[in-house]
Amino acid sequence: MTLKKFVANKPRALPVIILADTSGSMSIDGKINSLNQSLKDMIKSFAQEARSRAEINVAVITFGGQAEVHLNLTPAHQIEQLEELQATGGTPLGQACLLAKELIENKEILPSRSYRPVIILLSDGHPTDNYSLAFNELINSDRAKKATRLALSIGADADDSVLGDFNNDIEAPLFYAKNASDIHRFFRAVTMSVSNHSKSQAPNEPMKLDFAEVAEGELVEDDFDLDF
Amino acid sequence: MLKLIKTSVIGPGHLSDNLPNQDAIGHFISNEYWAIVVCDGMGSRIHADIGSIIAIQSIKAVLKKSDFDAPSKTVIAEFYQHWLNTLKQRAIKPNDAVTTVLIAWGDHQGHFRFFQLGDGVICTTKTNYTKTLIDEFSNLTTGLGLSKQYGDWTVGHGALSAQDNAILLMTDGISEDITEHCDFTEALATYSSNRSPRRVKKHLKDMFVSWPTPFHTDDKSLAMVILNDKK
Repeated sequence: MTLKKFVANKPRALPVIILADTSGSMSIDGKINSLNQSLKDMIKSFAQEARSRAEINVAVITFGGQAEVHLNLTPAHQIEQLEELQATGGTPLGQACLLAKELIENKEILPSRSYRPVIILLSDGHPTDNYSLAFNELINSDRAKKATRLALSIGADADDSVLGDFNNDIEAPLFYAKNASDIHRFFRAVTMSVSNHSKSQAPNEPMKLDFAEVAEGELVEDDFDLDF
Repeated sequence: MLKLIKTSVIGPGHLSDNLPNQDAIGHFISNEYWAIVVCDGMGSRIHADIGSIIAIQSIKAVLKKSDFDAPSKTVIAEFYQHWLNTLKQRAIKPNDAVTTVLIAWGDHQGHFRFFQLGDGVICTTKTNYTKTLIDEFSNLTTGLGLSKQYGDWTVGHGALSAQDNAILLMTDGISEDITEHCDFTEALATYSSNRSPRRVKKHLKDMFVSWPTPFHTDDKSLAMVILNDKK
């Protein structure tokens, strides 16, 4: 009997994509060290998640001097060691957005059966490249619009306007890290949130919808005349 | 002769949380028409299991008395309102009982109509009738209690034949992990062709319990009609 041959033997992925500013300024006040440790801790927690109902996958895209994929989207339990991020150069956010869009729209890497991705942007400065077009194309792309996007503003020089535009989770507004330990706190919160989500009764239902909150509008032709 | 296969198995996620199966399945067969219905109660809603069961009851009640040629929007509005009324009688809010809907409704000559709201798949051995939203991730869905628009529904009609003799409805607990839906339907129809429905059902239950996809959690439900079956 061969019915089972039609069933996928790969688990559904819960992708977590980190867009990390690794510009030279991140080397100041222990920020890059805190980020490195935070990422390692997060991946370790994901890898040890025993009651997960999804396979948590992690990708890291860095932008410092130039943007690059530091870690391809990989199941957390398969990541043996994350190479340390190095802080150097400017802040080419636009390049990072291009790489992120390429990744999130790749349907072989992120098949449609994946759970809604979580994309995290963290930065301590202003973009140094012509980022607007790539940034807007990323946040307005069909798939990125459906992702949960969180942002971390590090220090006093971060571009909160850009980070605020990136963030689309109304229940988790832009998070501010005044110092290196706040970076760790942020990633602890992300780790807990993603872990809980992966274990939740319905990882396929990422947000709580309150039907009572739906604005009452005029009935249009396509609408049913239902009162509830 | 028409053969009906339907089965539903609670997923490991609900088992471990000590929750009931939130899928529901149903059917009716009369001298002229038949229908199969599969509903998937939305996981986090406290009355998802009741919402899916009432949806089955409402749909069967409305289809049994509906004209097979009635406009789709009229049929949907009638069973949607029936579902809302029943929930109201039981003091359950629609938002607490959200459920997807998959329906195939046909005659004994093989003509059928289908209706879909939310995720899951409706297909025959040759055609997948479900809207393919390649940009969607598997966590985005709608259902009774959320949708108020006819445009959210996928509706249509088709015909079973000797070459395309089965129609299958399956919840996303199955469809999301199936690689080729039509091929799976054909394989299941072939497997069922010389076996009793009871034996097929047992085999499916065993397969759903030992589902090969790692970390699978969902309840798994399907219903299938095979036309001109000999057994």
